[in-house]
Amino acid sequence: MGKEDVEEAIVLRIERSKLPRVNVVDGLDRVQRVLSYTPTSSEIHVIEALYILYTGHGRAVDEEDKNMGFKEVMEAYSSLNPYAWVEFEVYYDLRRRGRIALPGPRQHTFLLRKSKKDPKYTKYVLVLEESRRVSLDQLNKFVEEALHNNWEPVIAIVDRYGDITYYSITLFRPRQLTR
Amino acid sequence: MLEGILLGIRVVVFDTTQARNIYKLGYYGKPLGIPKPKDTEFNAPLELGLIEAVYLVENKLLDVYSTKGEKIDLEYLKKYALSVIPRFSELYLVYRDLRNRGYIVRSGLKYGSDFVVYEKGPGLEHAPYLVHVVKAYDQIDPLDIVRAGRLGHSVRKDFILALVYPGNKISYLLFEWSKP
Repeated sequence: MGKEDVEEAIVLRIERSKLPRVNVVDGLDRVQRVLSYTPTSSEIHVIEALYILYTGHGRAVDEEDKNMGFKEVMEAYSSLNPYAWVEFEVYYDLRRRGRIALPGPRQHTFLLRKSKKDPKYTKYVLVLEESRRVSLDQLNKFVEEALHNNWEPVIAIVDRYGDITYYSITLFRPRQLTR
Repeated sequence: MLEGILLGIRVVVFDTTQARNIYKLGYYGKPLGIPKPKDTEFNAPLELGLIEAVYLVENKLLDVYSTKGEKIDLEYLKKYALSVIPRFSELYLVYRDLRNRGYIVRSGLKYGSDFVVYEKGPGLEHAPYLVHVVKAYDQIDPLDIVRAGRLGHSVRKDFILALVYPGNKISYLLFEWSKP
């Protein structure tokens, strides 16, 4: 199937009051193919919608059926979430490298699925941005939450040039050494 | 008892036999003019950082005297350390925790960290831990994490943040560079 056919197939409706949820009006089966997993309803996350728009797999309309491009949707989401752009950068980087990323369960996070066939989550990614200070205690809580769920905690730090550095975090437990 | 003299922000053990004995206890301090001692048989005075000196005094392994010959007690030494090292409290908690567990803890300055931590000792293992000490309720710029990872040796990308909580609980987070 040519990409043009797919483009026509996915239609998304962006209702600003419902963001970050976005309704899939048409082409749900193709959404599954593009996102590499089956959404549980006809709603997807706006980051996923942005990915569909950016990769040319669909189009979006607003509440009044006016067309919205990648730029307009990004602007709408950025007004609600200052991390919108960097979250998309991380999502795009993960998807581009074949990872199956699902937005959530908390703000600025993604869960990575093991594979298309195996729905188990393996990694929990927290998006951080240069100059936006974070509490170390919050970082610690993120690590604890991940380990509690058997997910590998990973932070994605996006610098001012859009470069992403990933760190996997573990709890280091100093042993009692004998001398 | 081993004896050292408080000189500014360090404690110097002039007696070279005592100097060797302290160094042998667990790679404490640095022999004057010998950046990387090959063994413990050097013949030089030993300089100890204040954090090391406080730990040794607290464990009754060292007595510290002023240049006037007055013995300086532990409490005064700690107060003095806090006055010249603003982060002394949290640095010392982490230092003591790791030392008490048997790790060798030395200054991490040349790696851009607070401490470099060995299980066996300097020169005896390939990849010691780099430890940065932070207060748990402080905020940091995430870029500092990237910096911490890159500050060390060019291939060394793993490091530990030691988060110190009120009540002295410490949580150690080990960061490893990855590409998920």
